[in-house]
Amino acid sequence: MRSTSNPDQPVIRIRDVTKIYEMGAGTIQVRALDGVSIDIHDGEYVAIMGASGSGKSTLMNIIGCLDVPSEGTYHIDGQAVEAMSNDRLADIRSRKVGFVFQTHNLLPRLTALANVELPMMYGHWPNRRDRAENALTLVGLGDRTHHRPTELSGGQQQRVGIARALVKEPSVLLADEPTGNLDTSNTAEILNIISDLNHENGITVIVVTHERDVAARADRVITLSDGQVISDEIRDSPARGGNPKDKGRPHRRIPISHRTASPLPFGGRGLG
Amino acid sequence: MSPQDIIRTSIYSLTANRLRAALALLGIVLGVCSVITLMSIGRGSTDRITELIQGLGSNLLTVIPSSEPLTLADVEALRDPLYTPSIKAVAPEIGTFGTIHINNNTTQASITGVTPEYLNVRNLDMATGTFIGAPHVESRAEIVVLGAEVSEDLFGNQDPTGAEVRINGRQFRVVGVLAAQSGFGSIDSQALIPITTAYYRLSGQRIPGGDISVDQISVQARDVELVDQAIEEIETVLRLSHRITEADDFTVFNQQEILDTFDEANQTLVVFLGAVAGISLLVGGIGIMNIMLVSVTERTREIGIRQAMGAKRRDIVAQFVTEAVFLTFGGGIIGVIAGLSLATAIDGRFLIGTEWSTRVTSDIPIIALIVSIAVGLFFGIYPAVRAARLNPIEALRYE
Ligand SMILES: Nc1ncnc2c1ncn2[C@@H]1O[C@H](COP(=O)(O)OP(=O)(O)O)[C@@H](O)[C@H]1O
Ligand SMILES: [Mg+2]
Repeated sequence: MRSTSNPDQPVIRIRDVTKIYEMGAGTIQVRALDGVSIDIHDGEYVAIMGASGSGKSTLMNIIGCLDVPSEGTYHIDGQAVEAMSNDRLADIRSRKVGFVFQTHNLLPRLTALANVELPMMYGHWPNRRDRAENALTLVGLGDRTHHRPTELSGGQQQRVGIARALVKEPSVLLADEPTGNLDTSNTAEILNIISDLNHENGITVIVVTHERDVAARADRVITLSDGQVISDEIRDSPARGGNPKDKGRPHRRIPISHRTASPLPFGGRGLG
Repeated sequence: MSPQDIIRTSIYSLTANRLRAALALLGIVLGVCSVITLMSIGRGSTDRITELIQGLGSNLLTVIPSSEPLTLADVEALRDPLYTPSIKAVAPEIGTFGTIHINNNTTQASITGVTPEYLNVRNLDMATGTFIGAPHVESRAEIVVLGAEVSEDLFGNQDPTGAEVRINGRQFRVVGVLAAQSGFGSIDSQALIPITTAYYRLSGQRIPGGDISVDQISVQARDVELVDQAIEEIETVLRLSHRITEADDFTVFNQQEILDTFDEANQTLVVFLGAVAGISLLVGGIGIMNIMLVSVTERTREIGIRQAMGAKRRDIVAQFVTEAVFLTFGGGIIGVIAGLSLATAIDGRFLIGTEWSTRVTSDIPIIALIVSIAVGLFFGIYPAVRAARLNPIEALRYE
């Protein structure tokens, strides 16, 4: 699944990506992204900041293969996305990325467990129920598996959303303003879960936010303005120490399924 | 996506809006129900006509007078084997209407004057008693053979043989009852009396000179193969006896031809009914498409979520087509049950001036179910493809 052949190869490699939206039958062109180049390595925790309309969501959608660039190239795990068919894109979404949305986007009539099982439906995953239960346990909802979204609080709903995103052990966890709709205590809870996934399970995390304290959890902050990268700071997080250049290398990443201490005994689907 | 997942997902979606699903189903139920009923009616009436052809005998010819009357002298001439070797039997008849009384019971019936040959030529059977004999014709006897329905009207379930009835005021003795025949132009509502009795005692018109004129003559050919030859013989004999040099003053009908015409008309009717039923199924299908399109729009966000979770286009197509097929197949099953019940219920009933007969065969429900699945596939595919072509980002943004 994950290409480990070249440890220096970034998980996400974006080069001169431009995204142009045409509106009013092509009369108005919006440059949502304008020549963006970013590399993100395995195990990194990246925050993307910027004013509203600066292109954060557009960038996320491209990274998540929900959309393709108008110009430029994008490789995920070494695979060129811009040339991919719809089915291949769906395949990448299914296997390599996990999405967490601002509005959790759970299916309202399904239980938490069924919602978490949903992404595994699109791919032949064994032991779906066990995996979904483990994922819910990991986000602290082991006792809420049979609740529907409406029977859960906003923070709990978002935790189901996270469980749904990580249940397939994606290469990258993408969260577009995951705490935008939450109060302070729920925000802290969600951020703790995301940090743990990054620190303890080594999942690459990209979080879009416009809140400083949310970005403060990350060890790298990319700031966008008018579709361009205006700053890209790698911060030395006191919690983790070390040279940030060394971060995100595959040798540091411990697959969830191989961690004995992990509460996620996924059973050998992590590495081939 | 595995078949179980597709089925489970479809059921999940359909149960979200039960009322709407039920209403969409209704169109298909009505369509399938009418297809089944109309097909059964078509089969039934085809059967009836076939039965009728066999009942009448395909070797039956009918001669009716046009400008000059046909008489018993003509009948005698047609019976001469020297001139008509292809003819087996000749049965003349005189028809009138009459009122039959017994005590306080009265019924209207067509009173037909016949000769003994009538029984075989028209393929009739006796339920009880005897038919009219040659001596009865000879003596202008006031005796009557009742059709099954007439007998039931007057006597209920009792055997009327030997009873006295009044026909147009004259006293007649019942000598027998015909077996029930049913079907069109049925003998059941008739009463048969000797042809001479009909002519001298009941009928008003008589030819001066005394020969009995008849309304029609049924002629039985010796064999189906000999029908055309029999027609020629009849024409030759009648032309000779009527001294015809130009236009015939009589007409010969081939029973088979008449029934063929009926059968053709029936086939046309069956096709027409089939088309009507087909259209109602089509309307049901369009209803399904409409519901599915509404459903796709309503569930745009759900589709976006599924796409973000890795659903391929074919997964979305499969989900929505399966939903449509579930609807039409469910509607098909209910429609089959309703249609079979309806077809059975109307079988043999007298409704809107006709007696209906239906025949249900096992292929009808099978065809109906296959067609209902096909309707689901056909009308489900467009909404499903629309769903699958949604742009994931726009779908996720949809409120
Ligand atoms: N589907 C779209 N069609 C047209 N314009 C769009 C579309 N999506 C985004 N945009 C425009 O692109 C720019 C960047 O949008 P977005 O990436 O959503 O910004 P952010 O998430 O940073 O608020 C905005 O000007 C927005 O109006
Ligand atoms: Mg945004």
